[in-house]
Amino acid sequence: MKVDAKTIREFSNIIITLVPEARVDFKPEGLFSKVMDPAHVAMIALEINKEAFQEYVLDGEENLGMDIDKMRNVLKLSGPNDIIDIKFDGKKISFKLGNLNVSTPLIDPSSLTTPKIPTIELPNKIVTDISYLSTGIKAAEGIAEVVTFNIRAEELKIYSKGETDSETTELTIPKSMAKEFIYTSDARSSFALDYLSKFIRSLESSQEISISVGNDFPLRMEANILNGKGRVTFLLAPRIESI
Amino acid sequence: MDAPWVEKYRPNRLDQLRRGTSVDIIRAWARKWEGGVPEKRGLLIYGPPGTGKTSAAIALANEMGWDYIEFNASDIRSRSSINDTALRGSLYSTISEFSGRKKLIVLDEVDSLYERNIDGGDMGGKSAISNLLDKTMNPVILIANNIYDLKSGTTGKSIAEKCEQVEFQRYRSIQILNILKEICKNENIFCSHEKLSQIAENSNGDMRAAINDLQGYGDFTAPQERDITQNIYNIISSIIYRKDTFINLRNDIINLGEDPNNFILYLLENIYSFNSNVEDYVKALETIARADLFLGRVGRRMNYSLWGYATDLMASTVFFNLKGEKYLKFGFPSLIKKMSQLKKFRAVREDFAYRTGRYTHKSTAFMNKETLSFIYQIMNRNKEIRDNLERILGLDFDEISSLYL
Repeated sequence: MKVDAKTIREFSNIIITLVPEARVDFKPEGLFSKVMDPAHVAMIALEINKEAFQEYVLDGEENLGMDIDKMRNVLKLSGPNDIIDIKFDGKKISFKLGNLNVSTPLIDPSSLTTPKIPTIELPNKIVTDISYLSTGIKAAEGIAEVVTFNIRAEELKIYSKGETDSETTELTIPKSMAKEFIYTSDARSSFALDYLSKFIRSLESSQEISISVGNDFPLRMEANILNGKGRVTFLLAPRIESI
Repeated sequence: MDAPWVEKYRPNRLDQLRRGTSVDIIRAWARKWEGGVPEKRGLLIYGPPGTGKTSAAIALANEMGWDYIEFNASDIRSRSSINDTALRGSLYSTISEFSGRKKLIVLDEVDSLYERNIDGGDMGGKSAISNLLDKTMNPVILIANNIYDLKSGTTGKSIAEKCEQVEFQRYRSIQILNILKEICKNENIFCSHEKLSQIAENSNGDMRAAINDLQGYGDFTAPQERDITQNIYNIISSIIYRKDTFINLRNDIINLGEDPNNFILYLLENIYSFNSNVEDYVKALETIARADLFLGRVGRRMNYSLWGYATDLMASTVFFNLKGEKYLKFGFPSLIKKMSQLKKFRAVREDFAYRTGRYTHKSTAFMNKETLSFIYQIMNRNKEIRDNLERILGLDFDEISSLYL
């Protein structure tokens, strides 16, 4: 199959935020992958439609164990608009980049765990421009390890606190700035900043992001990637507050 | 191939472990976690291999509806890797679908963490674990074979103090026998009672070893014996009588599970045969000597990959014609035999070297190796010096002369 280097790079950037190796399912309608980090804090479900590929030829269905780290090394050799020709047989996957041909071994997919994405009902949802969110997350990066999402009737607040009370960041996204704002009840949950910033940074082609928040409950973010030819769901477990 | 039986028959519930009252301690600790964060956030399970420590952790997670995350010593070697995975995971609830929303964090082989050689850190693996036990919001189980290794050092002691402790002792062979019988019944295979009891006895209380052995036997009508000297004998006789190929013999030596340092002694002892081709015999000895060089290097440099070369060289003696006309009995290495006979004399030498060393401010090893024969000669020739030495060192010359029979 043939695909833009840019597309496959975005795919690998998203997966690598959680794991260096992943099981990737190639189905007739496109490519799917679900991963969970080793500490069981975050999950990503990613799908890329076959329309994102220049050529998508598949014999039935294939489950591949891919070494994402190694794949990224290959991608480093390509420019963003290069077309990569990908082929796989049972043991290896090869990338053809112009005159260059690189193969890397596949991993036995049964040795990689695929998580079951939990069904989580969240009372509040906000859809907003990803750049707002990203500013709030980046501001917190310097000073804290934890960031708190707090939703109220009129706004979503994303704030963090440093080691002293005077060191704080707070981003407010009012209802007016949101494309969609569904509010049922006040809710607040805290999350590991590291996961959030890595994930947000990996989303190069997204404009909008939907954020669902509950009270001391997992966070769910969903975004379209690759001009709507793909979709990513990100789940993050909340910090357990001391009782 | 079938899934390993040790996994297939791993207990799902704590009761199936047959661990008696230890299970109550584990359950009581887990119940405290249901009501908040208990004073002792960790549980330390220790005991010899194959006594159900990991199984207990898995079964507990099952019973409580907790997520299960396991890290073993190779994942958690350094502070930063513990902080990045286990510690971070411990502060957040699980993202997997579990009713309890808690995750059980299991750190396996915590006794094999070393505090030294941790790059650029002021705090090693053990202190990271201790820190984890202070902060975790999820239950943590530590698993160790040897509690004394874990407790060595102040950090180790503080880790142990932060944990409830449960000891798992070796299974009795009757318990193992019962499990083996159940497995046979389940797998619909027949294995004689004698054979099963033998496996149970040999396992020395290690359930995993016993179950693996049972699965490994495969052919239940003619079970193989696990007898190391027998195998050494077979391999060496194949070398001398050239009954097998080099590659097979080499693999046999590797699979033997015997220290090559012992194997080389057996080999050296038994290639000795009269009437054989002298040239070949010399070449074989040279090959063995070269193998011994590699073994020596392993000893000095702790680079165990060199064992491979030693093994290759030892196996390659099959290329020489060493077969004698007369059948020779398989011999136990004379070096080991003589060493044990000389034990008494060595003790006397050590004692002498220690005393003279104290007197001359030299180490026992130096005196033993370098000076003993000179002192002996001097004492033998000069009565005055001999009397003085005997007096000062409180030794009897007759005792010393026994060293030079």
